[in-house]
Amino acid sequence: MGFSFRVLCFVPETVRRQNQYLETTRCARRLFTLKIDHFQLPKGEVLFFVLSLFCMEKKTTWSKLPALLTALVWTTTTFAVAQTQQPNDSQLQWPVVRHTIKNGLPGMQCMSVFKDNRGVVWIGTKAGLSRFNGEKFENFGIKDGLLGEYITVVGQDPQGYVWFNCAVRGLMRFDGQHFKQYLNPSPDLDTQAHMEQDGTINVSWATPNGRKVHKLKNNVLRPFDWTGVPADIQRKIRDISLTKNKGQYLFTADDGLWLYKNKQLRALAKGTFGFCEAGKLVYGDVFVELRRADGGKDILVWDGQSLRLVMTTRAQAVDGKMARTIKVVRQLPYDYVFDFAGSIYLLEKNSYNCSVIYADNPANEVAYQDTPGKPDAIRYIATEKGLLGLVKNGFKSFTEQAVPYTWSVVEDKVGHYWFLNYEKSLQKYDGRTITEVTDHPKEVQSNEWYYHALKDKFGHLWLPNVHGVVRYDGQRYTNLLKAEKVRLAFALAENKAQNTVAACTFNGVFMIDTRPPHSYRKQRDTTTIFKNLVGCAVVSPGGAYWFGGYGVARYDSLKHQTVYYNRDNKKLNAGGIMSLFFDSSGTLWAGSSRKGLFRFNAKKDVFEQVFGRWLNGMVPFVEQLDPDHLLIADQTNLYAVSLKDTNQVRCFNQNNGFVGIELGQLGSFKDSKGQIWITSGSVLSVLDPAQLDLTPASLRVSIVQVSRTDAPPLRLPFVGKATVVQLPFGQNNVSFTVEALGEDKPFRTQYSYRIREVLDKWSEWQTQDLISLTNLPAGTFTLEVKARRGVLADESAVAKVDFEVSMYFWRSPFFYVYAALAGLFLLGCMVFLWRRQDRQARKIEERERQVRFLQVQTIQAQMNPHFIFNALATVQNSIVNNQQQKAVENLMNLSILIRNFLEASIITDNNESSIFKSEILLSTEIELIKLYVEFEQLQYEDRFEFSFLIDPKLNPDNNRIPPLLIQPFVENAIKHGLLPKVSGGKLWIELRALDEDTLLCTVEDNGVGREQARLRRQNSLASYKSRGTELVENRKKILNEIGYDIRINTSDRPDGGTVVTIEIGFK
Amino acid sequence: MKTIIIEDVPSDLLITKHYLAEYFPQVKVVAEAGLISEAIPIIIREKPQLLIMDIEIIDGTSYDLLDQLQKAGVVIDFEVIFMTGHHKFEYATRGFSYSAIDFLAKPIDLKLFIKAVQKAIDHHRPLENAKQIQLLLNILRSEGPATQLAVSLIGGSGTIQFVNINEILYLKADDTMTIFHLENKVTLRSNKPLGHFVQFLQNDPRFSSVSNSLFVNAEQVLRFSSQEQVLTMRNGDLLKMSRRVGQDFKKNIIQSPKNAEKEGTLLRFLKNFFTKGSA
Repeated sequence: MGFSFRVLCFVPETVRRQNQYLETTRCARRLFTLKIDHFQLPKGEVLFFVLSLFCMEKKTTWSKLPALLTALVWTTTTFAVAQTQQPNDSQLQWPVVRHTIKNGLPGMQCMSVFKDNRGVVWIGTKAGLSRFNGEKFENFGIKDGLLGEYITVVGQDPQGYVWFNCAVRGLMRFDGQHFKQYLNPSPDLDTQAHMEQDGTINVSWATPNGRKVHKLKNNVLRPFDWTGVPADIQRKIRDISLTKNKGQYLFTADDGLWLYKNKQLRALAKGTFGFCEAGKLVYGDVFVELRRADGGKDILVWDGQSLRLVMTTRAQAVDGKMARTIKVVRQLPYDYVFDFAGSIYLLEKNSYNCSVIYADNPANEVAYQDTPGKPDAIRYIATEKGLLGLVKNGFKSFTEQAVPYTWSVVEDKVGHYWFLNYEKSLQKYDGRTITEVTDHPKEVQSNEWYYHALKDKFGHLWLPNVHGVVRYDGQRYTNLLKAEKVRLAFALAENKAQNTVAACTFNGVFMIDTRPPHSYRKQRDTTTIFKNLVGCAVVSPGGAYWFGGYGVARYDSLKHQTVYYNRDNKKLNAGGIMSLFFDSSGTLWAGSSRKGLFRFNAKKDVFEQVFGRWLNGMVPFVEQLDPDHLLIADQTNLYAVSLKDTNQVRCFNQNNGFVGIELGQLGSFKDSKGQIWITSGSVLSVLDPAQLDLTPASLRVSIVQVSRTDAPPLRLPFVGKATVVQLPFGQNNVSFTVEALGEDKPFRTQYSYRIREVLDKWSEWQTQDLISLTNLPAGTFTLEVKARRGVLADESAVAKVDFEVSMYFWRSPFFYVYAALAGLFLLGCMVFLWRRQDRQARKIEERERQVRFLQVQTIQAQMNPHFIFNALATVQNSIVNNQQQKAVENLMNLSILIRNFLEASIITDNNESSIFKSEILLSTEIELIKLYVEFEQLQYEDRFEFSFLIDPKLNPDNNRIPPLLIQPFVENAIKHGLLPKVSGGKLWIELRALDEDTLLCTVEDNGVGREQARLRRQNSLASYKSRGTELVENRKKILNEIGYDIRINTSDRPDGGTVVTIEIGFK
Repeated sequence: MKTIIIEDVPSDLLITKHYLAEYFPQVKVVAEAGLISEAIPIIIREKPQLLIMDIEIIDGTSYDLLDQLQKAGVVIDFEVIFMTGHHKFEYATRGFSYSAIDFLAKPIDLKLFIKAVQKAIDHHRPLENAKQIQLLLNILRSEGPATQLAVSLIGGSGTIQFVNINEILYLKADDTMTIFHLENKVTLRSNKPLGHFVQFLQNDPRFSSVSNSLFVNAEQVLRFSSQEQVLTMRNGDLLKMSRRVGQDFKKNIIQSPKNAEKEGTLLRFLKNFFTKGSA
């Protein structure tokens, strides 16, 4: 188009004259796209506008004249509609959810609201801080670490901390666990705080000398850098606001609005200004209000470059009524919620539509942050009377006052909607206002309109009530089932091809002709479905009737054939069917009263359950949103399900703005514009599927709090490095509170968890938000939690928390395993020791056996026949020589000697007792030696002399020694030392006690000596071999192994002969 | 002195009679018997003052004889001199040691024979004698270890004191005598050397030698310190052990049946199970 003009020309004259602040811009094309009917200008000003076009356009050429003329014509034609508009107060509203102290808010006066990047809503009230997760409020007070209870929310810094301001006392920073306090250095009134993008907080407080501004950065509070601002202006400053540009600030002073940028102060406008939204940014913009002289206010916006007028407002009493006027002069690229004259208004984005969203409730602050989640997320508004949540996602609803209890909706041929109310009259809605329909004649007048209405192909309405099926052709109401006894038609379905409407009643279906005279016949057979309530009916694209009640019946009215689907023939596993719906692809869906949703499988000719048991009870309707999406309702939720991927589910309910609770049994109504009307136990809603964003938002799950036995509950921080939660010693039970956040949060979220190495499998899904773990083993574990909307939808990402259990080891659940292992180990050790002990015992036994064997051998060697017969010969000799006395004596000695030998051998042979016990008394051994030597002396008379010396310290009656240790050496000395010597032989035996345990025996002879004895043995042909000493040597070795310490030492005597020392001791 | 000789070996009978006639004219042999069955009526009839008998006779032992006499109601108030060809350490003969009854070993040494007969003549103590014989018979009748011990006390006349074996704490050698330390601080002094008691008591598992001069009842030991080699007795006496104890005493204690019982049934079962398994 090529021409430009000043925007100034749009500004009302009064405004323009006062201010010189508006900047010029090129926006000619946008001008023509404006909807002029919302663009309200006074008549005079429009004229002025047209003229100014000509005056101010400097580059006007005649070639542009047609365009200008067009503009002129357009302006004049719309002249009549461009008028001052009352704010749109249509009863069809965007849903607003209201939370008050009844829902858990700490106080009604909500001063501030903020939604953080996780989707948690923080509400500052005059009675404390509240945290809202879309479902539950958690409140914080002074005891939790707040400085005071009048709290405003400052914002969230880039690290994730959420900041709060307590107006008089200072700032607080919250990490989810603790509040860190930043006390105000000079506790003046009215502290304000704004957070810049980098997390720096501008704190300001009012003083008699103007507002003092400080910056809080990295935990340090520094005075604001006022370079370039004269001190007198500094003092005048009333308020400060951020802008989206770093280092750019707006100030309001007593005389105007100032811009501070690059250390330069510039006056933007003169007048009495105040910041809207407490000076916080709205999508980067700053809103200011200018008080006009006429009592009204102008709302202007600073977008970082220019200050523009958005609207002018005025509230004044006219004829005793408050008249509110809002002139919107500028569209905004976002929805703008504002407070005007005690009510809350919404200026829709890119529109001049301005409507009341909540009357008589002043708003204090709106959470504008375009935080993660969807653009249609709930917008929270802090008001004087609680927290409001505005939902703009395609649903609108009437207030309960306007439309009390609608069961059925129908649209007539002129596009008006008829609402059939239970216990109320009929209502008609023309798109703007609702009027009560009272013109129906007495015979059909009723307050009982709770049946399904219909518009037939002729455009006539069928409005069933308690009197029967009432037909309204635009002029007259006719009751078509007047003659029938039972004429309550719960549902109607029109078969256009056959000009029939099927009216479903409690026992049978009436087929009513849609053409006069509206004859009808009753379709009834004896099957269960027609004996009971037929609750819904639908006509297939092919022209067959489908009825739902007890099961489903398909009726072909041409062939008069009925096919049944119910539990009895196992074609439909549900008792009651509440809704039937053919989607655009021709698939039939059946909603049951208790068993969820079924889909008809035409190939198998059966109904199959879909989506399992997730759908909550009754499914009152199924609707088509677009070719790919169905809208499925259960008692609490609406699901927008993708037919291509049933994991793609959006869920609408109380949490995200669909405010209908307990959806109506008669199902939904789709009007000619494609809007879906949804009845419910609370409000009547209408959904524009075109506005519905069908991309699902994922759930976010987090672990909020730990409850431990013997320890206070512990909140888990959402900022900073996660720490390990310690359980008190000895406690192995713990519970965690979890929460799910997200725009598609279902009425009930499902949670699942696992703990690696303890519960490796994900737990069963639970709807409880408390995870209780009991009887944990000791150790450090990670709890992982995930959430989902139900079987229809994907799962959330996993949230984790580490915790440590420490306790006495025997309280560990695995203690018995460990104990059993330890027990087995010990048993193994015992077995090993026993076997070793056993081996040792057997080794000793073996040694003892050997010793015994050798002892017996020794005895046998000593008791050899040679000796015995020689001894007997000696006795014989005495008898022969008639030496009776001597013979008897020798005989006695011999018997004693033999007895001693025998006894020694008997003890030795006794395997029962230890080898120590086979010792004999030293006195016995002495007696034995003495007797033996005596016998030898008897045999070899006068060949040698013998002396036996016993240490007086020694008591031979107490000392015990292994038998026959000494005797063999005595024998050896006699046989090999002394006997070869002709005469003068001497034998000395000496016994001494070395100490208590050790005995020393010396056997000494002055015989031929060892060398000669050896030579003699070699030369002898069959010499007598003394095996005794040899056996003793062997015995010594073994005895020394089992505890004795026996040393035998043989040496040559200096004067000839041999000395044998036998030392008997113990180790 | 009315004497009966019970002997089935004719030569031994002759020698005995010969010695009696030669050295003890006052001893009057009133009867002789070669069988137990023969002897009993004779003894009941004759009521002898001295009985000289061989322990083993063809139809029984002298214990059987005494036993039957007791059962027949005869009070054994006469002196008995036992003779045997058996060695001292046979089980039966060990009973003599417990009851401090002397016996003569065959072939009979004249000196010992004279001494024994002289003693019977001089020290006629029917009551004490009967008790000793009763003890002997008790020991022979019961299968378990002896519970009583007859101790001949020092002091010339050879008084006999009966001691409960489990009351003995320990025996201590005192030169050629033995001191009995009993419970309740009672001490006895025997005229026999310690070796005499050790000879037969060492077969009682309760007893073991802890040194050449100490013989201890392990059941009366309170504590045993194997490092210091000291035993603490129940009465508080501290006994110094000699080196040999390391092997003997310890082993004895472990092997003592009483201690084995302490191990418990399960342990014993396991021990047996595994040791058998390994065998």
